[in-house]
Formats: sequence, structure tokens, C-alpha cells
Amino acid sequence: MIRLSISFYGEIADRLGRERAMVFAVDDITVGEIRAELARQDEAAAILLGPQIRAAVDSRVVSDDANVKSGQDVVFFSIVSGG
Amino acid sequence: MAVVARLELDWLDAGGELANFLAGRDADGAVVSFTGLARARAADGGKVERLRLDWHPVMTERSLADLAEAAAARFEVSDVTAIHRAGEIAPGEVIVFVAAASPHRRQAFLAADYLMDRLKTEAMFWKHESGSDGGRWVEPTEQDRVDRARWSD
Repeated sequence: MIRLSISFYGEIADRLGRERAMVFAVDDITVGEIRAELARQDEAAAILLGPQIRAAVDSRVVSDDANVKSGQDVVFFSIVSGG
Repeated sequence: MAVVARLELDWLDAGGELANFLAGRDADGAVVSFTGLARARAADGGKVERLRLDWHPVMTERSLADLAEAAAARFEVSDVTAIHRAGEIAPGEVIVFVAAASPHRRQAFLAADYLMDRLKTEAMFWKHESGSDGGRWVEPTEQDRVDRARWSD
């Protein structure tokens, strides 16, 4: 069982809200699998499958093959605007 | 060398920041600073009534620090400061302040120029403009990307 806080930044937050607490009934999960599961559960979350949506785990930008442990903070974010 | 990078959520006093940056400085011959203001017009000419810079509680400030450190490492500067607003910003308010000090003016100019070009494209913000015609999320402009591409890294 993996419990995660998942938050969203940029344009995707308009569609998905800022934060969701989620539980996955598996022992191992990757960032890519989290994207796919979110998109499966919520049609609006299909936007996460787009190539411009990046991810971070515990505030470090990671690729889709990164493993995520229970209790970690996962962030998905739209392309940054700069300052 | 001191590299300072931080977010300001309420107000950015560019004059006060410059005064602090100048105070007690006797080994440097040059300080170059840049102050950016929130514009009342969007890139397409539409009126901007409200600008919101969304930010992440850890990654955004770290991105400012990384870029300021890169400027400090690349040029012959003694101190670099980068301060950026986040949250709700009204047209005319200061949105960013950067300063670089150096024994020689050219290096200070270059460091400030480089830092702003990178901040404009890479700082970890999500910018939303809204006005009477609705709201929209903003990405770096083509000119921002051209400016960034002037530097090799």
C-alpha cells in the first residue's frame, strides 16, 4: 500500500485542483504509473499524459521511471513561465 | 562571495534592496542592478488587471538560488542578489530585482544580463494574467527564448 500526496502546479491545477491524497494498492510504483492511474480514474487527468507535464518527487525533478515510496510528495507541473 | 536569492510574497522594495546591496562596499568598482515591473499590457496588447505568479514552496526559491549561483560562477563578480515576487502582483509593482557587484563594470553588466535572461525562461514560476477578456497562462515569449539562447549554458 502506497500513500501519496500529489499536487499540481500551473495550468493543470485549474483542471485538477492543487492537491490530492491518494492510496495505491501496490508495493511499488513509478511516476509514469502514477500518471497513468490518475488518467484512468479521472478523464480530466489525461492531460498528465502530455509530454510537457513534468514531475518531481520530494522537490526533485525526476523522469517517469523514478520509483516513488509511500509518504513522498509527488508534484506534476505544467511548463514553467519563468519570472 | 555572497549569493542571495529569495522570494517576496508581499512587497519588493527595489530602492531599499539596492541601498542594502551598496552599503559598505569599498572593494568593488561597479554595481549593476535591474528592476523589473509588472506591465499593465500583455504581450498581445490586452489589458492585464491581475498577475498571479504561482510558486512551489521549495523548488521555486531553489531555482532562483541555482540561477544566481550560475551567474556568480560564470562571471568575475563579488556578490549577486536575486529577489522575486510571487503571488498576486498589481501592474506597476516591482516583480524582480537583481544586482551584481564586481571590481569591473563589464562583468557586473554581464552577470545581471545573464541572470535576467535565465530567470525569464527558467525560474520555476507559473504566470497567470487576467483582465476583462478573461485569463490565460503565460509561457516564455519567443524573444525570451532568443535572449536565453545568447548564452552557451
